[in-house]
Amino acid sequence: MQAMLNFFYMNGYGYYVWSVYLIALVTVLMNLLLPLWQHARLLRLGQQR
Amino acid sequence: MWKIVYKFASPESFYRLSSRLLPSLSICCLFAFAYGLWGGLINAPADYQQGDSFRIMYVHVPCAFLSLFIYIVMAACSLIFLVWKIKLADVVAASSAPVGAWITLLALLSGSIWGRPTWGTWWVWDSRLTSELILLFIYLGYIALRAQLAPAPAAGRAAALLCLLGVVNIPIIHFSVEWWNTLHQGASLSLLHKPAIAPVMLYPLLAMILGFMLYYAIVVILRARNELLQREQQAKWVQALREIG
Repeated sequence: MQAMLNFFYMNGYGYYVWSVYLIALVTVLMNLLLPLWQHARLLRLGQQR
Repeated sequence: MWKIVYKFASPESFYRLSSRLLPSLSICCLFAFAYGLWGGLINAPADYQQGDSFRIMYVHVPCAFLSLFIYIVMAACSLIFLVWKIKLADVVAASSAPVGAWITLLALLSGSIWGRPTWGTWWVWDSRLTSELILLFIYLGYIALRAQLAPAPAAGRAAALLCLLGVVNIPIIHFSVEWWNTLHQGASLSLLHKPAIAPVMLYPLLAMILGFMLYYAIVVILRARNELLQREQQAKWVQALREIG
């Protein structure tokens, strides 16, 4: 458990490191999901007619 | 040769071929990220000067590299579109701009958060940081110009011209750390010189760069497919796709 906490704490740099990785994760996922949703919407558009 | 190029550049075959590429690209991308994150966050020891803050490098360096790489791809596509009028090049350039802007923002944010513990400041108006910020504005200008002019056919040409003008900023960003005094460190990776990083830190970094490049390819394909579906609404192949769902 302590080893885990130490890993996340990173000698005090944890806040900086993990906030960068969190921002990156959100950005990366958003840029994947938005076009995927749009794709589904574009294909559905034709079926309703 | 030209026949093959034109065949692949036709919207329908690009749509089919690129869609078929997506699964393998995604698997390679996941493996590259998995190895890069394991190597960068767990396996590599803390840096003797920067402690654990250097682990921000595994996001920052790939994003900074990609921000330039994506712009160069956009410029090449813009040139192809202006000279040979291949519409697919315009589609790829248009699809690259949003992901390029987000990646540039990511490079700036990660650099800022890295700068705080390392330099003692979130931001300085020095050459590298300022020219990278200008790159973000060029991406945003490109996107705004397209949005304003679309769907007029001139939108593609105007955007392509803007993109080619903006190329002048790329060497400025790249060489800024050599031409001017700056807080930013010089290049640690170069095609011509031996890398200035230990292998245990270097290989995960290369994997992350590869992962981000594959990620860019995936996002461009996803966006280009949507763009084609919208532009070719009336075409038979789009109608057929919609009937299948």
